[in-house]
Parts: sequence; C-alpha cells; structure tokens
Amino acid sequence: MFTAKTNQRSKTTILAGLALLGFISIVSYFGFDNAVTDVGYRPEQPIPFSHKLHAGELEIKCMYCHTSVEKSKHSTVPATSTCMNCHVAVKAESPKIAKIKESWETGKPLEWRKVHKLPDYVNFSHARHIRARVDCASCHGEVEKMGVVTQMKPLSMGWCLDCHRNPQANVVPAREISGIFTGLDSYEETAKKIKNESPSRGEGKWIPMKDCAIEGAGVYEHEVGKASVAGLVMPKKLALGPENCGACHY
Amino acid sequence: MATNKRKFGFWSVVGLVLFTLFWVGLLSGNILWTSDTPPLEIIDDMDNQQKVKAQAPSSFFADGKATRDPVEYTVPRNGTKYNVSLDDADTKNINSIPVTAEVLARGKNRFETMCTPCHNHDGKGNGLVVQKGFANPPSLVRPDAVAYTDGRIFHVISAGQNIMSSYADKLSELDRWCVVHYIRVLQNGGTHPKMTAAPKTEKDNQTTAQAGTAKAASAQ
Repeated sequence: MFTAKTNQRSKTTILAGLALLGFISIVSYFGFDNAVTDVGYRPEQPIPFSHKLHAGELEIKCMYCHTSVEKSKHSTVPATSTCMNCHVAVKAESPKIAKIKESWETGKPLEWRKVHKLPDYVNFSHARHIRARVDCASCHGEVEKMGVVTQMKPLSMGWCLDCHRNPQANVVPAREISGIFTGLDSYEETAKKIKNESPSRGEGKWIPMKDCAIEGAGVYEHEVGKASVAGLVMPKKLALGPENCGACHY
Repeated sequence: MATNKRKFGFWSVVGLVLFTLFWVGLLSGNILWTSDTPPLEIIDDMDNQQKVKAQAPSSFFADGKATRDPVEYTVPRNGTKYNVSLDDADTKNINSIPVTAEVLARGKNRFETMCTPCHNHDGKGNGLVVQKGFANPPSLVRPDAVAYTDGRIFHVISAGQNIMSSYADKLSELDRWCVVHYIRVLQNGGTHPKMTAAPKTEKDNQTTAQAGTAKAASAQ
C-alpha cells in the first residue's frame, strides 16, 4: 500500500495545494480590484466616433457636446441634433454617418454604450467638480487623444479620496480643450491656484456636522464665487473636497 | 528519479518567473490590455439599482426612452421658449444684461466653446470645422454685422440662420447675451464699447495695493 514513492507524492501534493491556495488568494485580492477589472474597459460604440479627431484635431471643446456638465449631476451624451449641427454638410454622405442620419430622421436615439460607471449608491455631481475647475481629464484621462474611449482610472472610492485629500498632487486643473469656465482667471492662473492655493488636508475650513452619531463627520466649506448678474454660472473657489460619507452617499 | 526532479524544478522556475512578470505588469498600474466586455462584478451589492437613470433605456415606455420629451407647449422653468420672428428681433429682444468683467469672461468662454469651430477665435470665419468641409460663415466683424442690433445677433444665435442651427438648447438666455457682448468686444478690437476702464486690472491693482498696505502694516 505504502510504496517508496508515497512520501514524495504527499510532499508534491502539499506543495501543489499551497501554490494553488497562494494563487487563488493573490488573484482574489488583486484581481478583483477596480484598477484591474474596470480600467481598460473599451466597449464598441454604435458609431466609430473618434474623440481624437473631433476634440484633438478639430479642437472642439468637450462642452460643445457635453453641455449639461456644468449645470447638472450628469454629463449628458449629446442629442443627435448636436451631431447634425455639422454633419448636415461635413461628410454628409459618408456611410459612417448613416446611423446618425437615420436617428435624425426617425427620432430614435442612438444607443451609446456607457463606459464610466459608478455604483448607483454614489451621488456624484459633475457640476460641482466642473465649477471647482477640476478638468475632465482628472477622471476620464486625455479623451482628446483616444480613438475609442477607454476607462483610464479605477473610479473606486479610495481613488476618489486621493483627490479629496490631496488635490494639489492629483487634480488636473481645467484645460482649454475642456471649455470649463474659470471666471476671471485664465487657465494658467487656475492651474497655479490648484497647485499652490488649494488647501492640503486639515487646512480647509472644517464645519462639523451637528447631531451626528458618527464621530468626525462634517464638511469643508466651499466659498461660491459671486456673479455680478444673477443666474450667471460662476466657478467655485478651489477648496478641499469633503471627506465625510454623507457627501457622496446620501 | 533524479531526472524527474530536475524537470519539475525547471518548469516550476519558468512558471514562477512568468507568474511574477504577469502580476508585476498588472499591478504596475498601467493598462496592459483593453476589453470590450463590461467590468466583472462578483458581488454587485446595490451597484445596479432598478430605477430610472439619466439617458438610460426604460421598458416602461413604449418608445423605450427613460428621458421623456417635453409635452407640447412646455416652457422652461427659468426663461422662455424663443419664439421671436426676424422682423421683431430688433425691437423685442432687449439686452438688459450689464457689461461687467464676469459677463465678458463668460461670453468669451461660451464663444470659444460654441462658436470657434466655425467662426474662429477672431470671428472672421474659416474655423477648423470649416476647413473640413462646412460652409464658411460670413465674418462677424464686417461692418454689416457691426451695424446689427444686439437683438438681431441674439436672434441669430437663438433661431439659427442659413445652415447654422439654433443654439438655444446649448446656451441659456443669459449665456447668449454674454456671447452678444463678447462679439461686440471682437468687433471693437478687444474692448467693449460700453466699458471704458478694464475692471480686471483695476481690481488687481486694488488687491495688490491692499496686500501692499497689509504687508507694510505687518512690517511695522
């Protein structure tokens, strides 16, 4: 029953088992990290739309199409009419435009595939970040260089907090290509302000939350720029993002 | 026995090296590959809630859209639906927005975003989209356009003209007036005709003066 090889076999089995266990634990620990599973997601869109051509070469600002980004939580995908502003004349007969034309004539929207997805229990507001002069590239990468939009950042909570805790090092300041309104400051001045003036952790004006069971809950106060005309969109003063749970999960 | 042992050692070393290279590459933070399949969600907690989301499809409505078109005769909550004919544009569109530094900055920002693809940065036309085959718009700084009333320019932005489509959905009423003011700046060669002193430098002078006095005070 027990031959001379048995000792060797049992040793091999134990070693193989340990190696397998190590492999599984490493894969489950690192492999399901957002940086591994989410980054690099590049779905094929219904139309081979190239940001590299439109934003990169033609220098059309991000906000020409994604207009609601400074007023709404959502940065909306443009309506078909926005495409047709130019494509009534430019490359109107191209087969790549056929689907847009069809959508334009029938009123049936194009089914773009969403690339950057946050969990539904996160209340992320684009407008807040845009008005604080945080550039699109901070979260989306340099989209004007992408032929097909790819997710470049993990969009995990830890990654969000990197910027909220230390904006100078991590935030990309508003760039000209995004079309973000920086008020009376130029883009260079905004970049300088983000690098030098935005408070580092613990320096912002911290307003503790009243009657909250969670110890240490509160918000950093943001001073909102005052416009001389009511209703004018004004950029917020650059400040540290809030760190308490209720700022994003409410 | 000895040969078996050697083989086992060789392949385990090769395996270990490949395994290490794989994970070092993966964890170095750079994208090594791209994928068309949606991100993996082992436990999806409440990531995907059954609710109506912006611009998402919905099986509830017959046309499959969660975002509804406004009912006929709907007017925006802040503002009005633009419904002025070209003949009335001069008299009905009244520019009541004062010329301030913020208004001009906003006008510049919106002009650079919405108008430059065709009209170019100086308003003279031949923008980058025009070079790709769009009709070249007439110059915004020609004497003809300088003579236009603010209301007439507002009308062109709001209702469109010739091949140019309406920008009322992209620019709020206030933003459109800001752009009108900025077009006047372009026509006047860098300054607005109604604005004599440049307030930005004035403000800068004030703040530097204040900072100077504060510094002097603290030094004393």
